[in-house]
Amino acid sequence: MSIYALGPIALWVGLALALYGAVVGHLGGWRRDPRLSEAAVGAVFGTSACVALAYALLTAAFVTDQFQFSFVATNASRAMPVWYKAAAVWGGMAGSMLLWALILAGYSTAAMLATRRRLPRLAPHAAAVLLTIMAFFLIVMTFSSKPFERLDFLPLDGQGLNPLLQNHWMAAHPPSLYLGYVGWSVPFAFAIAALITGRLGTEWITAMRKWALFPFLFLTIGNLMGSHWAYIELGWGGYWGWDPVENSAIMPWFAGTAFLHSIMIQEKRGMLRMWNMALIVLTFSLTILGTFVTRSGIIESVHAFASTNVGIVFLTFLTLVIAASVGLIWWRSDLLTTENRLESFVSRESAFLFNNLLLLGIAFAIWWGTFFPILSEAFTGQRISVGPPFFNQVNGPLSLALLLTTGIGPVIAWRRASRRNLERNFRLPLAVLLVAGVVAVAIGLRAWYAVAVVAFSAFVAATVIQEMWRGTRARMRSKGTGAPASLFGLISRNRRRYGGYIVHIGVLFVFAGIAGSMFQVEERARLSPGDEIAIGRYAVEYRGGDVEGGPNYTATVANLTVREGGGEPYRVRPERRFYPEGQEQTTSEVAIWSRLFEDFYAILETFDPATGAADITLIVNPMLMWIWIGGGVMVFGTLIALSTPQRTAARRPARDEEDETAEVAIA
Amino acid sequence: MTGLLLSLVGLWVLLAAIWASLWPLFGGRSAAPSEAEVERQELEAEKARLLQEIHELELDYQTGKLSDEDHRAIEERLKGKAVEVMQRIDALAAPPPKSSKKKDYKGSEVRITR
Repeated sequence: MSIYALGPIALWVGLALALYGAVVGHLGGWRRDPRLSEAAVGAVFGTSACVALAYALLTAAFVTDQFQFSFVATNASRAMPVWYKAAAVWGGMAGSMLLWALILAGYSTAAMLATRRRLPRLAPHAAAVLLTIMAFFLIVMTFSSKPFERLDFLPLDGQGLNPLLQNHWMAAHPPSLYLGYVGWSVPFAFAIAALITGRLGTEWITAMRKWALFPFLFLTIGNLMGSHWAYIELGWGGYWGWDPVENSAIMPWFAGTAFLHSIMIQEKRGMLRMWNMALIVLTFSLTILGTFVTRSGIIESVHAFASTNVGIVFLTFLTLVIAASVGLIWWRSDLLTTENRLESFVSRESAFLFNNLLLLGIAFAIWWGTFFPILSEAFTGQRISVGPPFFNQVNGPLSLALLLTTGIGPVIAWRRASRRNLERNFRLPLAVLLVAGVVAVAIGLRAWYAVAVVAFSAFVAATVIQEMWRGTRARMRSKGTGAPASLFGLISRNRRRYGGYIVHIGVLFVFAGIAGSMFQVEERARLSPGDEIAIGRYAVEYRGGDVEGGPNYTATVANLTVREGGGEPYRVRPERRFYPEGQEQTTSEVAIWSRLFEDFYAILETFDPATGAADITLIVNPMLMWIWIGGGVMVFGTLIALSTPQRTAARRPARDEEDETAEVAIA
Repeated sequence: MTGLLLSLVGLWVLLAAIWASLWPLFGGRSAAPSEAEVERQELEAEKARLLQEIHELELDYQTGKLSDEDHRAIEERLKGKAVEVMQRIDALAAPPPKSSKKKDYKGSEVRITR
């Protein structure tokens, strides 16, 4: 028996265990039966082992060129480097589903290990929900999109992975994005468990804070990687094209960010309980929708959706998830009432609510723009496209308002902001806003959006610096330490809060990069060897082209020498690669001279080997580097927030001298 | 030979997965905590949460995000809750009382340092 025969068996056994665990989990939780509850947790471990085995076998099949499997034959070839063969597992539908299941297995196992003792009332139901999600993906893989389906014949070679995907950023992008997508399953599962058990206080919210930060972190990384891949691989000079697949990845990020903010209001003020439930259901549903959009073919056409049954399976699951969640929220609506009411519109609660509405407004605008062509085709038979101008016009003002609330939220008072509070906390940041706006106009910025970004960013930076300084000063007074030690201690003792502020700083940098891209300059020319062209401050000389060979492609390369303002020459070599095997595809490998405040970007459009002439597009992208720097800062801030020690019964607060957070002395 | 060995390892993984799922149901010893232990854990978690809340309240007050009046009111409420939770934890931990007199935390000082 070939070892690969175990692949489908592992999926079938995994499915059986997942269904069994889903039943015993709910039964165990409902009856408070420890044996049934433990059996559900055991089923999580068992199902995870089965999925891991299936994934390992599929990876081995790719690496060892097992072209008897249809999925391997259509996504790999002998000439591909081993690294891309392993990454090709998630290059198609069936492997992507298996990767989804593998990541869910990892999250579910970790969640059960962390919570089964700490949250014994919620854990069995949460295990059941996680296993239900797992069962859905295993059903897709056993009945519809089968990773181990065999061909009737043995091909000599496979068709190879789409050349566009043969890029290290694209190889790492799907796992990161899936770590983000799938991670929302854990807070969703515990939210459903809280609804079933009626334990709707702060218990599940407190326990799920970190579990919500993980998917936020990976969605941030995944979207950054995807943007970077688009920037360096697609060869159109930008990083975000409002493509439906991109949009599907960013929608859960916005909804999840809203959730991360609004749970703070529930923790502090006992408000927004139903809202938080709705937000986590929405975020999880958007992750399923994102997978559905990417994998169903519905984006190309509603007819493509009808031609595959995967789309219908996904839509059915999504409908069931939403219907069951809404039903549970309605059933528990009496327990989801708020402890406190909004006392003033000028308060932190109100600012957070406004921030939530903006985040959801942006998510809704993206959803509408993404699905409008599909809806129009479904209802009228005519596909009406929605392009980047729609997204930019709607999301531009919303994003600016969001940027402003990023500064207001952290410093405005709880309950109701008095005049004294407003004066004390906003006088300096507003002065900085005005000065920055005037300076922006004085240095020549005329686009209102760019001026607003500069002014609002300065405002947010001022609020963050003011917050850090005040916290540091308070600590200096209470501890008698110097400023650096006090700042370090402040951040160290309040990692969630100050990690969040660091994320806000990262957001400012990203905004700076986006605003800079408005000033993009582009030139296109047909050049013969020895020709020169000027773009902005750059003088570019074309020194002819070459034809070169790669491991599984041939490339035409243009040699360009670039001088900025008469400075030292810099050599850039944009390429066009032709992959002869499989899909016979051509890709553009752009050349980028990237600096802190400007990117010089060159694209080789065509090359004539006979004459040496080439069509070349040159682009100058100001501030683009700040998108990647800002993303890095956001990741760093999230990691700081994630490093907050868990303060629970299982891990009680440390009782050392430095533990200032929770020391209670009963005299 | 290697193929057979790997197949056996794969089979062993599948059997272990089935065993892990069924074992608690058929004779496995449950590691689940008792009702009293669950309650104690929940109270400890609530206590930790309240202490963190009080700490953050102080930080908000120090950085000008709470009026004196709101600070006093919220602090009083949180400390009252913390004392109540601590009394319940003591009641769970203590052997059956000889007298009905409970340890009185009211009026005690709940001190938070930053």
